[in-house]
Amino acid sequence: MTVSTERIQDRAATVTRRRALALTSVFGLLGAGVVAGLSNLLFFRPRVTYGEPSRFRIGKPEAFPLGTRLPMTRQRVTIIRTAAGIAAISNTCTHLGCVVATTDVGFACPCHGSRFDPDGSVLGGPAPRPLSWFELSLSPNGEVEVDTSKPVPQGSYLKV
Amino acid sequence: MTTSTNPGFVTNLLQLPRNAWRSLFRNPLPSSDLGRSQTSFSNFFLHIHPVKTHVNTLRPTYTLGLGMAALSLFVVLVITGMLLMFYYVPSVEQAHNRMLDLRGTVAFGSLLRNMHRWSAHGMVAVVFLHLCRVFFTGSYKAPREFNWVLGVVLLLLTFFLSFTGYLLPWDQLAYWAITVGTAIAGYAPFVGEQMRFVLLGDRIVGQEALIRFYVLHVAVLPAVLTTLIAVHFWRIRKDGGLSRPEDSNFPESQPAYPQAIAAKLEGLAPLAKTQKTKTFGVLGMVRGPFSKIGNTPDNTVYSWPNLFLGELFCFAVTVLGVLVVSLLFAAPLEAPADPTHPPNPSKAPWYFLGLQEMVSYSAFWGGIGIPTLMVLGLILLPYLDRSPKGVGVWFSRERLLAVTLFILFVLTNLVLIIIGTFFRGPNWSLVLPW
Amino acid sequence: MRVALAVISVIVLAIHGVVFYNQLHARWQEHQIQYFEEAAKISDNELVKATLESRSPAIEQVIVRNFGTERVDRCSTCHIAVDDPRFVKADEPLRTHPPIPGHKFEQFGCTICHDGQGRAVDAEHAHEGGEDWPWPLLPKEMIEANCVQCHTEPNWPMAPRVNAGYRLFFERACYTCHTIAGLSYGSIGPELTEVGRKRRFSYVLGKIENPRATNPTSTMPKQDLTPEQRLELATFLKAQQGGNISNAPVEQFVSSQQQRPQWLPIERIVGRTAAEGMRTLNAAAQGEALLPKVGCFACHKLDDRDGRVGPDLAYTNSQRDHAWLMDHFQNPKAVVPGSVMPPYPLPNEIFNSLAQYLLSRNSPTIPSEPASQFKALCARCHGVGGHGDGVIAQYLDPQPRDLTKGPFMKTKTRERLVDSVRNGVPGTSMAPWGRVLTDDQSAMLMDYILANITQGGPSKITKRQVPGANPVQYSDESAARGEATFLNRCWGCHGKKADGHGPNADEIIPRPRNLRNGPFVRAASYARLHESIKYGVQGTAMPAAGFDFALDDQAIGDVINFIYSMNGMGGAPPTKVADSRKEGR
Repeated sequence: MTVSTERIQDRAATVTRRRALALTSVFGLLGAGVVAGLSNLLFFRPRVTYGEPSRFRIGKPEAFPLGTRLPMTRQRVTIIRTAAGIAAISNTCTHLGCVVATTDVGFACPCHGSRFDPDGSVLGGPAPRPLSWFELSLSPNGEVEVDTSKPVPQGSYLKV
Repeated sequence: MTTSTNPGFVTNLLQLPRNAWRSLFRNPLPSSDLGRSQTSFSNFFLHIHPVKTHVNTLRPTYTLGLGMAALSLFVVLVITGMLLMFYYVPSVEQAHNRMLDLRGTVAFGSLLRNMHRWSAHGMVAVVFLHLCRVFFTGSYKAPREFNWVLGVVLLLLTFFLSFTGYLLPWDQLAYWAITVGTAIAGYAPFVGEQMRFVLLGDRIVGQEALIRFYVLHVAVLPAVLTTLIAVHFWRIRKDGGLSRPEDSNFPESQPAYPQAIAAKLEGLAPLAKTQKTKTFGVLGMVRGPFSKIGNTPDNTVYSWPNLFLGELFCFAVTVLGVLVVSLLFAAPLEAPADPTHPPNPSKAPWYFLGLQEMVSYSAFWGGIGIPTLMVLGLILLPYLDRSPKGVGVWFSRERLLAVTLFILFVLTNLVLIIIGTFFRGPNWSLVLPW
Repeated sequence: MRVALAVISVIVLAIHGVVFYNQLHARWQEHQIQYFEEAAKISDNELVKATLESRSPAIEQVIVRNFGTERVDRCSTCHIAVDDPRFVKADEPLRTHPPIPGHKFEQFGCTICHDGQGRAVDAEHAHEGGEDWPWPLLPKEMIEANCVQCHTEPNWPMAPRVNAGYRLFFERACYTCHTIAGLSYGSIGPELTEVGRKRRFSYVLGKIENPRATNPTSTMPKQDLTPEQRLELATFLKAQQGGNISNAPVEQFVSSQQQRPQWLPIERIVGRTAAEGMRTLNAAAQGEALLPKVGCFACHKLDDRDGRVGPDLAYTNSQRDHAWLMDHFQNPKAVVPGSVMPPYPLPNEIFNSLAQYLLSRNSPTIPSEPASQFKALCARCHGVGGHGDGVIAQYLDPQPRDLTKGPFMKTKTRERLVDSVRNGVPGTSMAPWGRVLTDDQSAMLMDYILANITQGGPSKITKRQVPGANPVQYSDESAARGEATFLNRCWGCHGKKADGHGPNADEIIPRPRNLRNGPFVRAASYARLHESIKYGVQGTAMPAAGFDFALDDQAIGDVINFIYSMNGMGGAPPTKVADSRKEGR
């Protein structure tokens, strides 16, 4: 009979329609969940920090005469000036993050005894890597700028 | 208008206390088996327990009450932690001052803080001992593999909870322990530095790290831990309760109290000794803390009162221990955190000192490589050791290799932690502690 | 188990009860109750009596917000009688505080003057503060260090110790090594701008008394100070808390921005009146007046004053000339690389005055006997017994030679030894005594040493085969080969940077030589260097590398070329750092 045939066809159509709707819902909600998860990663990663800025200016080159080895405690760098130019060496020990002290033969870390030579190379102790050197640049107003988010190879000086 | 179902206003008023009480406590304290059964499935707080518990589960020398002790410590931690939250402020300017106030002016402040601190250290130790117990009794084997994995995850969460809480006093001990601990995490390849940056919210430990650790410590991690503890208990039920030796299910084949039951059987006809069905003969009085009346052939007893008594006892002992330790030993509070002056030496919390000792030999392997292998090894254990032998017995002979390896593993970690704690002095040099 | 549970439950209840009781009977409550009773007893005014009798113990606190970071002082919880004038003779904690006009406790609190931990309400934590609390209660003598945080006028008469300490800070040459923002600049020792805030005063006192107590390799000289002087210096340093509370924001900002000055104004060091008076004098007289004030006697000896760290200046007029003195003043490390003398932040004209004075002095009389000569001239560095352990030996790098070591002394030619005495050893603290002694006297002194001080050693020197000049022409390749050999054999003692600080160096006496000591390497003959490497240096840890490591003369020549390359010699680009402090003075 036509009625029952139509009913069966209707039911078949309903089933596939339901299937399609279910798939759409799953896709929508699950997808939203995935995007939410990724959004969480973005959420937790800070875009600004409130400690010392990673880029800062230290002054004109003339303020650092030859032979300078000046530790800047807040910014955790040591500024050195040799015949080759100005450089900035990190004061953060590469072992477990303590602040190294400047000594007459380089640097020494009080936490676990790592010792570094004046260029930051490891002389002894558990530090696995030498102290980082940071990128320096000359800003338009004539001051030297240090960028602690950009490590450079050891021995890279800004020639001023 | 009084009817049979509505006695009348005055009567209602007079009967109010009794009716209120009855609506709250619908079942009286049980005096029959039916009553005992009902405690387990009509009470919200008790209904995760089974109605009957196997006698082996209740044996103190089997579990040493370690799991319950861990739970009790967690309860103490949550309560004392919530109380401390009323006076603590997670700001770099105020945190240390608030700790001083807790010690000085808050009523019971120093007791609560001590209880919180020592329970935290205790929980890390007890959870690990519980893991050891589960291993030594082979209780990670099928069908309990997933529960074991859950347990390892709970162990890691416990470490993380303790670690995040360690920073909150914001004194020199806290600041540099977390600096050192997160630096170890930074050694992971590729993602290490990124993870450290997201965890601390900045390149070095500061206000961002304090608030992030605080939120993790009081909200996120306790919620996750509570949920997983609930699943952990649920799995115990679904896996058929705590593990036990296979042949302990029936008293005649492996009696729980061999002397007593042997004495019992002595008086019976020789045929009776081989009976495996329930006997209805008069049984003599038998010594021991659990009621023997109502023992069924499957060697279980009613949870009320036996199991609940055991749990309460564990809780009471734990609370007593925490109280005594808290009254005798004050939790440390050092000078306010000074990011420019690291102490010499700077040590991570004691449960990470083994890692720090290893890191002093090799940064990657000590801090990331070996710990990852240890955790992976623990997680994969029940899938690699599928032999059903030796379950439910301590140090079973059939598991000699596994037991020996695990003992070595525990001893190595213990030795490393002991070296890191007592034998390392300024500049991480070897010193003698005496 | 039921019994055990019951017992435990009772114990837990008992503990709760005891703890509860204790909370209600703290020590401070007992003090307050005692005060209320005693004060009520001696009150004759009914109103006062009624007030006291109705009071119950409560925590007393003052919150101070007007002076720097917020302070909460609860000291008057126990010291409840601080403003009750009738308790002047009572025992602490119920004693009256001496009146300080203009300083009400409700406005200032207590810790702003006394330090201590204001938030605590028990004696131990309030006074000492517990573990490593940086601000324990100050002794009475040092309280003025906190007064000057607000009373910033220079030379304030109510802070005599701070003022005395300020003078000592300059007289004892502390200003040459330590930076205090706005006051001094030095890059050798830690910055002291905030030392009063960051370090316990007991630590500072301990450091002044014995610099090597907590750091065995510290180059800070041990000063001869009376206990009173140490207290004055420590009080002055306690007053350095990084910007006074009362300084105008502009002043604080300016002094915090201070960059390294070329030199300090002399007025700051000697005081304005003294500075004005000095300008009227001629150079040598100026030098004489300045010498005790700018810190020379923190280390050096002259006449009857002795810092026991540096050499005796009495022979400077013979041993040194004006050019040498000016070089040395401007950059001591350029002349003696191991010197602990800091570059003084003074202008050239001051150096000139000092030099003129030293050169204009009369030479002291030299004793005639070699034994007395040794005691007068050599013992200060080499020690009375010649062991190299003289009074100032621990501050000299390289260390003075141990003259008792026969294996060393007897394997060197007499000419070489006498030459060292006559011409000194450049790059070290060994001065040219040939300008003080005649040639005969130098020779007789050396003979005396060899006969009476040196012990042991071979009775005759075997002939050594040493080329007079480098068999290998200098070239970059030769230096590279030498560097490879050095990194293979030598760096364990001499260090990867060849500065004598190798990992083994700590345990070797005398220390391995700093091979980057330019003045030394440039003045040493090739033969001497070659001999030291080939045959070793007996009496020291230097092995005979020529034989032990099978280095032939060519290989040794390469190594010496490498050493030359590090010191800007032999065609290698100069690495000697020009000192800009010489310019523009």
